[in-house]
Amino acid sequence: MKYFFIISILALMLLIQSTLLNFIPFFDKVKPDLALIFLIFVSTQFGSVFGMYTGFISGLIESFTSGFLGLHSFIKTLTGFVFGLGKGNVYYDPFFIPVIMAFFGTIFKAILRFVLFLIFNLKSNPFNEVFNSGLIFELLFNIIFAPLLFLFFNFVKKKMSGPGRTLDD
Amino acid sequence: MSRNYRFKDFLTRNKRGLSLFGLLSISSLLILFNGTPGVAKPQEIGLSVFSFFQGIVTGSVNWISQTFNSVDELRKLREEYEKAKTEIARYNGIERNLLELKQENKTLNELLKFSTQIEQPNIPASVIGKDPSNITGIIVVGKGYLDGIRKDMPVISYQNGLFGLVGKVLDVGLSSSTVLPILDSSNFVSARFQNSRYEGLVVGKGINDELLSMQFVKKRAQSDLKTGELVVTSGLNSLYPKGISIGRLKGIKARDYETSLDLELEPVITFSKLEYVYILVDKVNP
Repeated sequence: MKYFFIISILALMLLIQSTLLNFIPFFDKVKPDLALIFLIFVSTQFGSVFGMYTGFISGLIESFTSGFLGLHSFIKTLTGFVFGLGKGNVYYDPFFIPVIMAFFGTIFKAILRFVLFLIFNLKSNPFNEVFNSGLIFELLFNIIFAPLLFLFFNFVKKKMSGPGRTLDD
Repeated sequence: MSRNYRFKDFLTRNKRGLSLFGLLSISSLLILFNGTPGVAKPQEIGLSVFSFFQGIVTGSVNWISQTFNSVDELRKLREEYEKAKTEIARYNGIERNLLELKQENKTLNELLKFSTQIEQPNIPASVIGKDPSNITGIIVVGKGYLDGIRKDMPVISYQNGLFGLVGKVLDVGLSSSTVLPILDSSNFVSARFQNSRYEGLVVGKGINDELLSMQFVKKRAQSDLKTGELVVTSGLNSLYPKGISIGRLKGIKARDYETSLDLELEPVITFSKLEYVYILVDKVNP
């Protein structure tokens, strides 16, 4: 039940990213990575194992519409694993921690992408492909959306848990 | 400890690391074999499934957006419709004015033609007003002193194929004048019957009647007069030149104790339809 719910929200985030955000002129060229923010939340809440599996599936779904099957799953798997290590080790406040996590998550994603472009020779100029003005905008959007989304996800998690139950079960 | 047990123990203790390694390996293989049929096919299937949901979301948003746009467009169309209605009403008004102008132009052209037919010099003028009190029947015309109009100038008009007497100029302004019609009881015109040549004096019976009275016609004329006979100005000791039609005989009253007839005339000019007049200029004293 837990896995189904999380995968559903993940798919929903990707759906919003690939459809609804296109209707907002502000997100014409660069969009916030809602799936990444959700992945970070899930990983920090449920741990590395859950995080990496969620990341793998998230990456696969993302690859269906953006190409490079495997690339996004690699990045998201590793991201999920890394942020999952913070479960139980970090105190989560409603604002600063999501902002910091979103910041490092975006940078980590960009670095991984650059490395994979380089290793697998996927782009002719990997540095310019990754480290450009688009990254700055994506960073900004992710930082802004992170606290709001974390608030929402926390709310949903509490609702799903109910009295006497936890989603960790 | 058996080998199997140690292997299982190793897997259990390193579950996390092994899972990570496994997933990253799968991802790497997918990247390496990207584009090959083995990888492309699952990607196509995944794309078909995911894009199905994308289509639903995009379609829904487009529908909502089109609905709002339609409402907005409907509002704009309504505004344009109201504007167009106003414009059409304005153009209808312009068209009506144009038709009137055309008619006026036609009439003026005819009047101009008639003006040249009158032997005596004349100044055409349009009727611009009438006495609102319904007492005197005074007519206001749009020509005045600056146009050469002077007091007591005779005024005629053309109706039903005849030039008929309207009256005389009463007062003159700079660009307009008043005309005392022959219907007024203070306006006397020396006249005669066109055929029988009997003379008399025509005077108005008041503007409400729109009839004229011809007085001092010899009683013996009764046998020679016929209903409908035309009465014209005689020109004798009169402001009015001779030969201008005044009216037609409508009725005869003969009283035994009187030596003259009291005749009723119907004016040739229908004063209620008067639009344009000709003010006759005196040849000697223009």
